[in-house]
Amino acid sequence: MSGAIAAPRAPWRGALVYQLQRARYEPTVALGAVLLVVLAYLVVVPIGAILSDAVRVQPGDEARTGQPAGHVTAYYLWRAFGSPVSRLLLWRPLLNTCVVAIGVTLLALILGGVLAWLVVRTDLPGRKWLAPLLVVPYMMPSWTFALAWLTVFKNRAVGGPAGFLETMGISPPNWLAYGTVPIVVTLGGHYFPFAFLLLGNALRRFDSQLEESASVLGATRWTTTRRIVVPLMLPAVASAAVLTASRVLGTFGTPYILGLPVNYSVLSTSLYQSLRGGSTGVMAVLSAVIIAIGVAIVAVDSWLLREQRRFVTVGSKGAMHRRTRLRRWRIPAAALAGAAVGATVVIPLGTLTLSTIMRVPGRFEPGNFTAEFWIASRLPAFVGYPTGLLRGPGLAAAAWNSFRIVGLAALLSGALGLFVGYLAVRTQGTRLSILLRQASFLPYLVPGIAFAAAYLSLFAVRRGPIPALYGTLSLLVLALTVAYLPFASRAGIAAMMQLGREPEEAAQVCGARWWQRLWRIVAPIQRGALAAAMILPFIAGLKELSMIIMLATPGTDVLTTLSIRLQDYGYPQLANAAVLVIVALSFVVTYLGQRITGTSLASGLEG
Amino acid sequence: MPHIGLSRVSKQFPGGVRAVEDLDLIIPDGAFMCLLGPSGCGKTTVLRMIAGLEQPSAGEISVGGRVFDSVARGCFVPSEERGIGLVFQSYALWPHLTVRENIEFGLSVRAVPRAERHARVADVLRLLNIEPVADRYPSQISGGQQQRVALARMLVVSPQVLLLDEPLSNLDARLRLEMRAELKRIHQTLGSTIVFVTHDQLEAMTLGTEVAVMNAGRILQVGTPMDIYHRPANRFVAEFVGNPPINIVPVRGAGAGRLGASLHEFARRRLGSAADAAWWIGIRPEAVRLGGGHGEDRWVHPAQIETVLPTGPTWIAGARVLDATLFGVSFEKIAAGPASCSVRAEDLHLFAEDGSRLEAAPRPSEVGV
Repeated sequence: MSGAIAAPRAPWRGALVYQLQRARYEPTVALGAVLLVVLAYLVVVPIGAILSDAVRVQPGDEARTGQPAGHVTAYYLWRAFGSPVSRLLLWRPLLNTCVVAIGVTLLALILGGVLAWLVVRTDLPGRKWLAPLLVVPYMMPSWTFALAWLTVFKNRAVGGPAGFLETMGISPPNWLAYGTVPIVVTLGGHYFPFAFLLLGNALRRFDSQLEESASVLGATRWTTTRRIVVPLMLPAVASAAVLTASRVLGTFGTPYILGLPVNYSVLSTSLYQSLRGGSTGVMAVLSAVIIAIGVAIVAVDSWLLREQRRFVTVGSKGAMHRRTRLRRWRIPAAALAGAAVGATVVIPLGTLTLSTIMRVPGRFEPGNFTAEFWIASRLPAFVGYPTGLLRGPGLAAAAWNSFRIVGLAALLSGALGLFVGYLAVRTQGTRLSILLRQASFLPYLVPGIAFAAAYLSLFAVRRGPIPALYGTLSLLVLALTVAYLPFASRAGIAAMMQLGREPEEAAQVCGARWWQRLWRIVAPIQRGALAAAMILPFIAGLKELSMIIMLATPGTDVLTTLSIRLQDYGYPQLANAAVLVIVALSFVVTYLGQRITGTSLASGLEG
Repeated sequence: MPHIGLSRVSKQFPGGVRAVEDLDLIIPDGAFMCLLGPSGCGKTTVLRMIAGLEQPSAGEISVGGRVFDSVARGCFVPSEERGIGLVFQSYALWPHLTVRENIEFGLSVRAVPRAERHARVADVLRLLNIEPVADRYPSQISGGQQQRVALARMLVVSPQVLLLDEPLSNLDARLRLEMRAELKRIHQTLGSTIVFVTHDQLEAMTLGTEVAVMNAGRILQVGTPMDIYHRPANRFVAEFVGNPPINIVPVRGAGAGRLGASLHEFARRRLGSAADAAWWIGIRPEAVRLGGGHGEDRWVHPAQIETVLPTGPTWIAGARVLDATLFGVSFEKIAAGPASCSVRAEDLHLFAEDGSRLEAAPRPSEVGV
């Protein structure tokens, strides 16, 4: 037995044997190391693969480059940055991306900031039910608003059914129908909940005594705002800006729907077109550019967060939250808030619903309404999807795929996240714990579309024991699992931190072995946390488009790609109906999730 | 039988924090040992190392002659095989199991037959008076009952050693007193070795058959409670144990004033050469007599009583003597105003420059306790 008196050994050997004896009973360190290697392979290696693809001759490009496949080349860099087509491939999309990102961020900050202040710091009527409503836009797929926009503002520049305004005899100009303006407005309407939540939380923590102290010292209202409020809110504003900008960077659906008709592209759509055009080398370069911008944005954020530590306000316990009285501004302010909900939730969803029940879009006559786009058994004009949406086998298959792929990914992500949490908390204080946290957080830095590109370049061919996965559902599941790991592991770490080590240690001194402790103590206590860690990725996955459209073969439809495909075919009524189905599912799952876990999922949206 | 031996044990946490330094301690079989020290002194780490939840960086830990940890010889026995009970400060009850299931857990993982399991659970439920709540969940019972369940959960497997990590600190004063009595009763009934960690000196003094005072990862003194109180091994122990705290008067160096000079002069006259090396003189408040008291063996000086703090049974007084304030405590009423202050020579504790005790003060047996 190990407890018997053994002969003295050389000190270092004794210490080594001691550690090995320990590891036999306490596999957390060994498991943590294994998990770290797996995470490194799933996160770091794909990114490495795509960076290397950017500078190596891709199969099929031997003739163009005059070099054998796999050789180091600057051809793709030249093509993307310096060639005559570089304007089209990279520079214009880059410029458009920057304009859109800045525009959306400003819009989201202004809208989210004003609404957050109204809800948190004033006596706005109805603020209690306003707060959850204002998060709703984020629960819909990001391009919902874009489809609604097109339904109203579409003009004769593109084929298919006309927009509402066109039918009414008003022809919207191109700049209003497509391109920068509608993209900024619709994405702003989708992403402002981030700013609303982050700034709202910051305002909630903000002690109004700080303002009052300044007033007591004789500062005017303007001076107080300028010298006290703005500097203290700046870190939260910066975080919200960074989060919004990095999301916009990777978004695909909206610029695809609203940009394509006028050949307006951003980095993500240009990336997608490179993939569809078969130029994987250029795709790799574009991915690298997106990743670089994404990393830069997060770097700025973490630098700002470090700065924020200087501003930790003291004495939050006794914080006072005096609400500003709006007085005669109450009604206009309420109208403004109501308009925000209307413009970002009610009008888009209403428009989409209307578009699916009108034969001729925008003609409000009794005879014009129909349910055929939903339930008709035959729609002769729609060759690509010749039935009402609910009747066709396409919807059922896509829904089944969505549930299968996203459900499995959410399950894996949640379980993995909780396990990361368990190991990170059990090895707390060691380098391993820090590395585990960092590795599971890493996918957060990479916009989804570039991450999907990285997965394509790593798993498209057979590598060692791993077969070629392109076109399989496994690849989709794997990529989504890893992409949502940051959310799941954050939830896992938080849950394990809250539980602490003691319940497990109590079982240990009672004589329970490691697997008994895990199975009989930790797992049952964390059931709720596991559900929470799965539901968030599940909801995000239901709405996911950019990653899936990159990784799924055209034959494999999920709900989101089905909707986009129907839009591509020029069947906006069916595309809109499909999006409404996704929205409904997302609402139902969110509601069920909140019932099951007893928490507000909105709190998990913060980055 | 299970005496606990720690030999040259050190613990360094990742990140470089040295929680325990080169610690030697022998806890005799059947002892009720209290580890007493301020928070962060390493006492909980010692407890967790004995339980096997923390591994020493160096040294050897054995219980009843069986080596549990020996870094140099490569011996390790995991926590689950040590047969040691540990009650956590937070109780760490499992929220998804009922009280009965919580208690039964240790038996079921050891594959004890069902009938015996039920009998043993029933026994401890009775021993700790928690039968009525046996089928409730931990969140449905009071703090005091949770405390008992945590204890029952460990007692049911009849551990050879029972470790308690500040188990009473979350209870209110009344329950605390009850649980202290309960612990003492359990110790006497079961006769097992108990190690009890606390930062509350009153708890340590009242419960322990032995007390080890720790600070900054080292043990400063091990002894009976009376020993610790009346013959503190150094300034830290003297100041940490006792409430109200001991008066410490610097008699040499920069801090020394006129009161120090007067006391020092008296100590040298009465206590001989040991007093020459003293840097500080310590006087317990109950040894400071305000009003009355004469004689050769006393230092006497006029004083001005400035503050009087009645506690109910006692009065605590702050008396200005020369250039410093001495605190005294008395069961008789003290009034503000001029009084004579006196201290017996044998009540002076002498401490050297490094804080260690200078052995010239009277033996504890000569002190009227």
